[in-house]
Amino acid sequence: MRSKVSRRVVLQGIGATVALPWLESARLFAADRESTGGALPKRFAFLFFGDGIHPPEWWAKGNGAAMELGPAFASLAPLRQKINFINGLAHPGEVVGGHARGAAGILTGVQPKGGREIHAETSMDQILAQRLGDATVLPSLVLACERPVSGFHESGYSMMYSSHVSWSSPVSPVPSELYPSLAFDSLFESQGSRTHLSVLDHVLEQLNDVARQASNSDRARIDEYATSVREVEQRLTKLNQGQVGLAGVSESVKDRRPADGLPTQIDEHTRLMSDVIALAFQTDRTRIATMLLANNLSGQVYPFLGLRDDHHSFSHNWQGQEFASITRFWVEQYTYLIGKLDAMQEGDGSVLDQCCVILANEQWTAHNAPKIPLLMAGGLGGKVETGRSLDFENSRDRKVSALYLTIMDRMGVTMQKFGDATEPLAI
Amino acid sequence: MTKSCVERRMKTLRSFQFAVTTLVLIAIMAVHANAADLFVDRFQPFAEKFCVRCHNREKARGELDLTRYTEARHVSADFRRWNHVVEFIRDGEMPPEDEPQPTIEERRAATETVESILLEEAKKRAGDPGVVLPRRLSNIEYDRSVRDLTGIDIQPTRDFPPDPAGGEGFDNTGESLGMSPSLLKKYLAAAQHVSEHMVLKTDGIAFAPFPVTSYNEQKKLTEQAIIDFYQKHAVRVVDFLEACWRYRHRDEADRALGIDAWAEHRGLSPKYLALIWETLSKAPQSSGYLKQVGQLWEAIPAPTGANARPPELSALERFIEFCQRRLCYHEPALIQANAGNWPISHLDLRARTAAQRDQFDPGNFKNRITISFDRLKAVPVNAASAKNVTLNLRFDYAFGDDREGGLVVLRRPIFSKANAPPRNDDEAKKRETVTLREVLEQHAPAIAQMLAFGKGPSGAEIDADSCVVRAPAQIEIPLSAELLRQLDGKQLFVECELHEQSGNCSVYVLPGFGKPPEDPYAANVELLIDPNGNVATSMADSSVEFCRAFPNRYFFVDNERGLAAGFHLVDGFFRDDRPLVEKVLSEQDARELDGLWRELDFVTQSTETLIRGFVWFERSERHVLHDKRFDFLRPEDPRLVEDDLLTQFEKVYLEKMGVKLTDGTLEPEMPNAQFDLIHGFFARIRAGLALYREQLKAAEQQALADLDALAERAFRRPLNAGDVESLRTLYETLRKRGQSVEASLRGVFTAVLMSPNFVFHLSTSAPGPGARPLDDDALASRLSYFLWSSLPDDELRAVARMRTLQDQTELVAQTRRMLNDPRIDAFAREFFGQWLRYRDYLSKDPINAPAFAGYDDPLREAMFEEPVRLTTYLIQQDRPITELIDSDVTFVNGVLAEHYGREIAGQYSGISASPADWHRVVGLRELGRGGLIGMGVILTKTSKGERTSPIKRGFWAVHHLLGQHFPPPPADVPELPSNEKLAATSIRELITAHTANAKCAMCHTHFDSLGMALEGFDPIGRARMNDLAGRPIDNVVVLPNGQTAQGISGLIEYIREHRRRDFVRTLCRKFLGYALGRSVLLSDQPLLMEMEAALERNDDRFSALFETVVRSPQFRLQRGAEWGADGQ
Repeated sequence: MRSKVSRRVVLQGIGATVALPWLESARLFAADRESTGGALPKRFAFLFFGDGIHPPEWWAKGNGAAMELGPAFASLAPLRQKINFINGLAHPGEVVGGHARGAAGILTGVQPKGGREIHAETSMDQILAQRLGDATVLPSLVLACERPVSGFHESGYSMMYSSHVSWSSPVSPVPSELYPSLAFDSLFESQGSRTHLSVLDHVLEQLNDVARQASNSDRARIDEYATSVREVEQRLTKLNQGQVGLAGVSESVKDRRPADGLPTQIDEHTRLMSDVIALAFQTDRTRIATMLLANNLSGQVYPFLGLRDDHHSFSHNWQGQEFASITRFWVEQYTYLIGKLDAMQEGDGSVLDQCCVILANEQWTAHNAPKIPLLMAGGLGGKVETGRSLDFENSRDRKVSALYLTIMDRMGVTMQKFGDATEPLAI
Repeated sequence: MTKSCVERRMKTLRSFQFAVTTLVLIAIMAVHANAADLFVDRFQPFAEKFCVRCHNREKARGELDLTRYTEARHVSADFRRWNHVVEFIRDGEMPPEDEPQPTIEERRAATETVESILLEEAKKRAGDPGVVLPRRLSNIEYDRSVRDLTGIDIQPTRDFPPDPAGGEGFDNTGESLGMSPSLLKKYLAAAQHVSEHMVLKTDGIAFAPFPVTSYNEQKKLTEQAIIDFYQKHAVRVVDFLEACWRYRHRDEADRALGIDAWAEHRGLSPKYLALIWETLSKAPQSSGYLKQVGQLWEAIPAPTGANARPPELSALERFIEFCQRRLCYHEPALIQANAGNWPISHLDLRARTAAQRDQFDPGNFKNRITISFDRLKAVPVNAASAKNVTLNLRFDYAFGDDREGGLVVLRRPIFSKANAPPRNDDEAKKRETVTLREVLEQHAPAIAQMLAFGKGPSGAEIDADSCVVRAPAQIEIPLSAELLRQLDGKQLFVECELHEQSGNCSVYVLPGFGKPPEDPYAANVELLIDPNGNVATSMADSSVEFCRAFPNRYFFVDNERGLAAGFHLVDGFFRDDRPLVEKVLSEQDARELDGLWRELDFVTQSTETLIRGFVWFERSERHVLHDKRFDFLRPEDPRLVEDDLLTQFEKVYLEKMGVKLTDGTLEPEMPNAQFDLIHGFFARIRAGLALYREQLKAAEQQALADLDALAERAFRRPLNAGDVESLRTLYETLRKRGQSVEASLRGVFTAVLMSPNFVFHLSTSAPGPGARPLDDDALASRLSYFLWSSLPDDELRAVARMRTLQDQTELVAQTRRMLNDPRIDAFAREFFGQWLRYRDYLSKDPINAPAFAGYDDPLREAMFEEPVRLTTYLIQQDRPITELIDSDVTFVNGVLAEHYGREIAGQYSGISASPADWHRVVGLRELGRGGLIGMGVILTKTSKGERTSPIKRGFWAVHHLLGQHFPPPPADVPELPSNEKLAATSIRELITAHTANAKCAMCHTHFDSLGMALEGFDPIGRARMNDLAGRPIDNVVVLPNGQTAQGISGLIEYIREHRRRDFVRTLCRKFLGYALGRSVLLSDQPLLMEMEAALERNDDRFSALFETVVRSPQFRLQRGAEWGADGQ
């Protein structure tokens, strides 16, 4: 295949070499230290896969070094002290589960509207992006490893709900980026701010023309405009380039750019996308990321696991070993990302220590969602204790939305209400 | 009260002084160096005698030092302040009472001296256009311009900070409208937000009412447009039937009218009405069903009224519906079902269905059908309702020569638990079947005997469980409670077959459960007819004709999924509207609909969406791609839309579906229907993708031209080569950076909206000395922003393009046209709202709303809207400006009418169909209201919390409306209670007490009484007899001139009689300041006088104001680039 990316490159990854000098210096260049009060920035990532898990292997017991991990989590063993296994949280009623709405429900906490009109709610990551996104080139990174489906399910829901986790408003799912290369480019050349820069350049040119023809008395107002344009332009430029100081190292970064096109297989695809998130967090290009690994009602195939059927077909046979291996596979992808973040030094710890990275599925088994399979990693700058297995199954307060309130609060965004929750979850 | 208001008053004289541009100052000083000095000769002696004891360098009471002014030119340089000095002396305010007083003659001489100095100077400067600073658009101008540019009211400045006011108190002046980085960021975000409403269509750029940047929004936009179109053109057959019927019985006068004209008169499709008319007219001579249609048609009596529909008309409508079911193709259930069907065959099925909607299906003619009755249920033994159930079956003559010969064989009627009669003995046993004969013989032997089981016509022997009936006939089978128990859970199936001897007739079978069948056109009525017999043959043509006129649907839109009803989970838009297009739509409408579909396909990239969805669906839902051979295929792959990959996909897919291909080609080894179907699908995909690419190319070219046109309108001048090139370069840059065509177009449009040419009012100064005409484009822009707060429209631009706008006749003609345009509401809202200080009412409401039941947002919005409606009306009807004071009419909607009391509400409900409508109401003066003073918004804006404020109300009238100046109150004035109810005495008494102090009274006597006259209106402007605490209202007052007056009527009379000039002058000055977007200068004095004179000549009509101003040099000219210090 023309666009095939060699596995070797993938395994090297974009930043797999720990603590390159330029990456460390990135922190020193951070343009917006004031926005974090001089502290290291906190980041949030959410990885989603649909159609449920294989429960017999999905468990963990105990805390700290002694934490025991179920077979699904085997890959997480070296990182057990950096994760929290959280069991028993749930969304109410019809928010998740079923064939065609779980992706939209998982991070919004609401049941999307049936019928032709698309209506859900602003998702938690996008609330964070809207409140915190000003500090970075990209307010958020919204990635997907499976393309959105645009049809209509017989349960009465649009398939948009099955394939969009991030919603920037109740009616607007955030278009997700499928291509690792373009996701990579967006870190360094945010299309949005690049366009703005081009626009402002153009405006300055016009201002020059106008100023040439203007009388002295007119020029003051025009200069005022030009000064404002220049100042905004400088700020954008600083955001685009300043932080990393790409000047001396841009070639080495460019070398790590994934090839154009799409990897043929999902494992390669996921890892390239994880590399992009890790790089984005490490270089503070964004602090918010979501990645949809597999849609709700997913058509992903796993030939490299020796499986020929699609994800969704296996999910109906969730007891089977095939689905167990698929579940394990997705946890491994999660392990890859948090392992990578943990290998990146930052301050006295790792980038992961400043993050909260969640892996969640919107169903438990067979398209039912009595509880949400959920893993959480990273200490969020000391705001979250890790290395624990928590069980809320029999607790009165077991709302996923309450967990979101907690995370947002600890990132400095306080909300009175989210989904069905009005109180944060005590974790 | 400490110190005195007097001091304050003088102090503020200074604050009345507005910045006069340095340029003017220099110019004035230069001119006056050697002039003979009236000031020294005639004013200074007066000042020394009466003024300078207080107003000198050391004391400078009221911060006025009169010794500073030693020549006439100093006076003209400080003309605003001297205007007030004159006013004070003339009105006897100065010198103060306890000082020596000048004689009347001395007073007059002093004031006339200053006035003549000022006028002399003003005349010299007359016609100086002044300096109009370049400025950004105000928020309202930005919003309106964007609205007129895009056609969508996006209001991008909603989150901008409010604009500061300058000049004569308006927010359209260069003195106040600045720019800052944080505001610029908002502009950038706003420009981007606006450009997100842009959508690229096949014919270029369009704007949507919401941002269209994702597939979901693209689909919402284009799909809804089609559905709206369908709904607008939906056919109600009965309307056409009625039109035909009324046409047949039309009056003698209408005899000559064609059916086309008739249709148009009734708002129906002429084409379709003609088809129905022709079909109905020929129907009586037709055959079969259509002949019956004709008979029913002829049976309708003549109309008895314009609206009444006789039952015969409804009968015809019902019969037509019945025939549609009987004759047209039946729509396959799969069309609406959401099964996991094969997309390719589903598309084929939909195509066939769409093609057959108006076709006769000969398969509907059957000589054998199976009737099934509802499932039987045992009734509880002791239930009170336990009674017999009857099963009925009626046989009626339908068609054919032989009215008596309809023999029907009832083959083995049987009760069964299954959903169908048993196919064999095994099944019969398993389903616990029992034949009707067995049941009847046991429970109703009489009926069994009557039916004569086992006997055919003429005594021939037939199957023992079957019987033969001759239509017409009715069978009634009573089932007792006991029998029902036995048959619990079973259904009766009766297979009916037309007897072979009955080839010349056909029979209706009408089942009835529980009661005899009554409705011959019910949905479950069946027809028995020999499909190959004479009767069927004779009916074929008329059936075809019927279906041609009455298809089973005109178009198909799925209730839930809209047009995206392709197949199961995947969006596949499918067009199914042939009957509508061919029979109903005009050519123009059909073209519009084609265009809408083209847009849907283009904007949603429907072909690409379809093929990607197909790959996902075939793998995920149908498992067809669960095969190593398809591993190369991912729905996300960008190359999926390229020929190579598509061809590879098609080949493997055909193989998988068992089609053998000739080696290496896309040709089947032998002709193969499966191949045709699949290859047809892929061909359709290829064609769709190719068409898209081609359309995109054309659309891009058109869009670039559209952008130029948009920029030209936004810039309010023709583009030059540099502009075009610069926009094109930006576009290319964005494209090279990997932006899509649409995103790049959006980027360029963002740049247009950020351009100084759009954001700024610029004037390129003309070369030369003296005043030079504005170029026509700049003049057009000035005119349209003055009147509309927005861009010039096409007509104004065209006039500017012809360079005739400086022609005064043309300029006035354009002004008149624009005054009559609805967009004049911008002037009505902005000018009056800012002048009279209620524009911020909605955001700064002084009222404690919860204290007043019914004081809600709809009412507030209506109150805010009222003066806009009234002033728009006064301008457009060219009424006298004095009607602002004494208008006897106003405009109200439902809530405001209620608010204004019984009389207005009564008047309103007599003329209004909906409470949302605005209507003119009259007779306000008689109700004690009238003009602006009596309006809810004014009375409310000048109230406070939970009480009225006569001080604020009076001050508003005297200061804002009549232009009288006062110093601000001292800091330590006592607070009045905020709640009228809790106050110990009436507000009026409280005020009277607190302004008893002579020093307070000095100002307050000028306005308090005017406010007290308005006490007959509560804090939110409702008429009242008592205040909120129940104290009776006293609104009889002694006005500043000693007259007694009562209420608004008294006030209006007072202003008309005694303050008219104040009002006119104030209005003129404000009007001019708003029109020019700058402070009024001394040099404008002659123009102000001309405005007053023009009003007098023209019965005070609004047009005199507008026309005098737009004709003035101030409006049409600008200072030349070499404007000299000598003012030339």
